[in-house]
Amino acid sequence: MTMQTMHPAVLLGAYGWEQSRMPADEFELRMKAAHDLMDANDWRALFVYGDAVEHRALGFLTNFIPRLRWAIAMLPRDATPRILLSVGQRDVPYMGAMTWIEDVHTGWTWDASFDPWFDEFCTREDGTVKIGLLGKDLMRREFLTALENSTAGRIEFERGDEIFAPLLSKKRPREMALISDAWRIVEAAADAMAQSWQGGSDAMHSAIEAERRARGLAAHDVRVLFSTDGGRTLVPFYGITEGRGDPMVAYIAVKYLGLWAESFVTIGDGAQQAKARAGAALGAMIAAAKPGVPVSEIADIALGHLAGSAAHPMIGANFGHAIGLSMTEAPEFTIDNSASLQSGNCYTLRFGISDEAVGCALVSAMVHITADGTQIIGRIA
Amino acid sequence: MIQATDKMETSALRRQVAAQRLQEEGLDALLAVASGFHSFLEPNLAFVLSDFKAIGDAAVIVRRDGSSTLIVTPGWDIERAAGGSTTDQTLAGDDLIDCIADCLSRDGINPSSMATDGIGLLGHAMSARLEDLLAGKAKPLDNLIRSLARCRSETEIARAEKATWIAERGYERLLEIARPGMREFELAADIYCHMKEIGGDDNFLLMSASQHNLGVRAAGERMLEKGDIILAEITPSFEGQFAQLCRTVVIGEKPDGYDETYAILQRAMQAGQAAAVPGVRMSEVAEIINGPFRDAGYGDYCRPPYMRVRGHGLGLTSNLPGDVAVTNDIELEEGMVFVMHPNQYLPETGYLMCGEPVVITPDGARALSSSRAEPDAVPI
Repeated sequence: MTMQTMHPAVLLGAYGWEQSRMPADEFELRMKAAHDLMDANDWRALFVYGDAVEHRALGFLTNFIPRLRWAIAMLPRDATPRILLSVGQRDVPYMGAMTWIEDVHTGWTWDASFDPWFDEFCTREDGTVKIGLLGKDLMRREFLTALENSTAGRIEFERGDEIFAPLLSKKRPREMALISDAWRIVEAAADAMAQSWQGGSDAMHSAIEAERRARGLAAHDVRVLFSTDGGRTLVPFYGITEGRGDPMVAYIAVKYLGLWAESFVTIGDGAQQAKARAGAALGAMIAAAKPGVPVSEIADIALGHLAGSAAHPMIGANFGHAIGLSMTEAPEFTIDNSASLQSGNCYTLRFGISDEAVGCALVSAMVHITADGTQIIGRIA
Repeated sequence: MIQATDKMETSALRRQVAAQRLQEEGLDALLAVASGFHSFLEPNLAFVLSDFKAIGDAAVIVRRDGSSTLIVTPGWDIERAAGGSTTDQTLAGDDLIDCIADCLSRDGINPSSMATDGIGLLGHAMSARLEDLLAGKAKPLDNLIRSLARCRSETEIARAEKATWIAERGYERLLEIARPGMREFELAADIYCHMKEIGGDDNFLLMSASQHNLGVRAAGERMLEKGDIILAEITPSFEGQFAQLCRTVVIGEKPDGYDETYAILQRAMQAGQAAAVPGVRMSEVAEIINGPFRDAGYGDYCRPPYMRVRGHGLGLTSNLPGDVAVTNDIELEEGMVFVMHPNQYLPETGYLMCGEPVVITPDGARALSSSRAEPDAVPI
């Protein structure tokens, strides 16, 4: 999916393994589910790759999140797992504390850390075996070549991303609790932004106050986009950006203990008509969001509410997506998408309008679809 | 060194050099691609050739006649891109490969008359699609742009100096607010946002503390205590130029012998700066930096895990000259910018940090910072 915010040079924040919120038994359950999928597909191991930008499956199965480069977990069906981190040997003990996997090595010495492990794996197996591979799309050529050179002729890789997608999409109770926590940080950040802007600060400094508040609440990652032109365009931090705009429209995304929450925020008195229309559209979209409803139906409702106005370019004709371990997960809420809302998943619904006559507005809400109905995780008025 | 003038931006000059290379190679166009990864240790080729930092994946097409097109993702960022890029044309869309295909088709550029740079820095999904589009016919010129940008222009050095100024303000802020009871991530959050307020658009900020550090890492949950030694690798970017300060601060009273031990790092830094002149190999500089440690009886510690490298290049322009390491034989050139840091673990004090961003001049490696690293302490 398209990257929507500027990725930072390093992921700041208090990364670790918070065992009070995500204890070892949670990973035992996740690995049990992974083993079931491995058995069903006749995989003797699962290799899971992630990098600092995208690490959904890696984080789910290992709790490890690369902050700068990459990591790969080798998870054999019936033997001790190993994880290789793209950090120097000096940093392995500290970084390794982020995962339940005890056999942690630097990935910088591939010949010493991958090959012996893989040789031993192959000696335990009988003949050519199959290994499930997650995250191949993220691998750079140099890494993929090293992996292929080390494994050629001895195993067969099978892409596992689609097979694992349902497991990653259905949010477990602990994940939903953390998404709710992440949402509360989003709300606190939005409050800080509003206080700063209403106190006379410009948009950039108000956006920084949002980030300061979120990071002070131990957010793992914070992404903010903001407008200085009444919400017509949103920009990332880059140098000094002057101007306030009215309304100030912003986007805030927060990751807390590996789970994301996000919201559009509108502050000020400007564009009330656009804001009202956007709010009505979002209300209708939320009301329609139920298990099994096609996402195209939600998109159709949104398109109807545009009523001749242009969609906001930041959203275009994509009126939502799933969210959780990644900031944007499939499906995109477009008119031609055949996917439907799944019970157990968490979604962002969003609507945007850009119209010279009524102004610009961007609104969103996060919802949890359950068999009993739709729970609104949060919606900033 | 490229001398950027008011009439021609650095990125435009680099495109001109790239176009000359195309003429020499008998090729029609260069496609330089970059992901939205924004590593501070790697060049972002689209940024180098356009002076625009895209949010997502991006590319620049340079044609033989010198004309150029920037393509950015996501599509909604078109207005910012068009306003910030120095290319002749700016396009935007949500799928980089589709946009590249459209552009090549529209311009009638045949892959067999093209060169590419940077495909290896993309993930497999993107690189495989691009290879399919080009049908294996384009000529890889990997590292062309990295090499073209190995020496910073005056404009870029000025930006690096501004980034250094921001880093120094960040360090001042650290000295101002660090206190026992504060958590590492709270301190990092404050100085990170402080630097953002004064123009730091990104920041590779590592900052951690311990009574006896083994290395520096990203801030965590640990609560600062009296007697902790805070290590800070403060690395803001200003308009795409990263600069890095390495600093060491004690909370409270300095331990016995701390200043004397830290002076070894300072001597190593001074020796490295004096040695780093144009024409010298980086490996020689690294050996000279190791000298004061050997002289003080710590020769056995001049290797991992007690240290990693004595410095390194900085993105987003070019990460050349690469690591300040005994294994790097690159010859230094005037205008190269990197961080020199004789950071070192010593048994008495633990890991200590001392480093400045430098630019190579005929007189040695000039620090971009206004003051040198000292064995600082925060009174409590």
